[in-house]
Amino acid sequence: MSAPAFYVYCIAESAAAAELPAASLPAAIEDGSKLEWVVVDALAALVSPVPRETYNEESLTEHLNDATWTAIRAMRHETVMEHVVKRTSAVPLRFGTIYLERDGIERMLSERSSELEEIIEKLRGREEWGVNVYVDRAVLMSSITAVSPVLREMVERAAQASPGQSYLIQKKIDALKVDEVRASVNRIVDEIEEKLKAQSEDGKRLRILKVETTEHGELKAKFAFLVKGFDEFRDAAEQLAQEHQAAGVRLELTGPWPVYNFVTGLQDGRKLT
Amino acid sequence: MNNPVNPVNPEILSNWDEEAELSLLETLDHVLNRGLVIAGEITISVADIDLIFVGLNVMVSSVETAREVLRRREME
Repeated sequence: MSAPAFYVYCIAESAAAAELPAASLPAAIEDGSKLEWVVVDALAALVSPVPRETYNEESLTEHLNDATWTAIRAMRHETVMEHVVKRTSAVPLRFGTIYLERDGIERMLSERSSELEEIIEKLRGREEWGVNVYVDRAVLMSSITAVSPVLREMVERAAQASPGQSYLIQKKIDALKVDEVRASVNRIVDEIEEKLKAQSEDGKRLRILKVETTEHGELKAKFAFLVKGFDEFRDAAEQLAQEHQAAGVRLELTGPWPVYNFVTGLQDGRKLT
Repeated sequence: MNNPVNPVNPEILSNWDEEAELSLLETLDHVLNRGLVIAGEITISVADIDLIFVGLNVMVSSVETAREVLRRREME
């Protein structure tokens, strides 16, 4: 067998790595291989050997087309990450970061040490939480005259108007309902983002790659938040969920995740070979 | 990579309940789309990652659809 390549999962401090001996770590991304730390001074990269035949550029692209193959690797990557970040601050690397030589990893650790140490410090004691916002359109539609300030005001006017005027206002309300449903979704989603940002250190709106419809409605927004102090964050999320329940809105919290979404500020795409 | 999904081996997923599938999807979304991009000798490009994810979505949905069909048959 030819010399292996190296799959890199994350970067932590050497001192923390020493507390997480290889034997105590979960399974590596490939069967029959073990995780190990590549240590350079204060930093350590968690890696495992992978066969070059599989993980060269061409062959890897082919394997990634195989959904089952990829799903298994992604779950193993995540299991390793969860194990580490439960125990120490670590920088999660993007899935599929491969070095052909150990030297390359060592060089990367030493050349980027100050930047990596900065990220590790920034992430210490923080968790990433995902928030998914679902809206049940039927529920929102049926409560829209109460939810939308514009329609609420019109309903009040109709109640005090003469029968003729009231009829005309009612017609107008019906015509506005669909637009108001859309506007209300945007307004509520913005409010959720703003309030949860206030309860966290950073927040990001994520792309929705798949339109998901569940029994609780359609996925309307997806956020990630950098959270220090989960209890306050959860309380704020619960309060928002209660406030907007009548509008057919449901919040789903996911996490804690490795801080995947808050380490992208320093990427530069430099080649280090 | 117009069609990023090969047929899926259903055995690998047959033990997963629905909740596990949902969390699988959520996990894949997190793992595949994000994390610090540090240039290794080989790094999957962002475009690839989107395609992989779309492919995996189809995979998870197809598992769900298969389940749905089975359930309906059982009810009939």
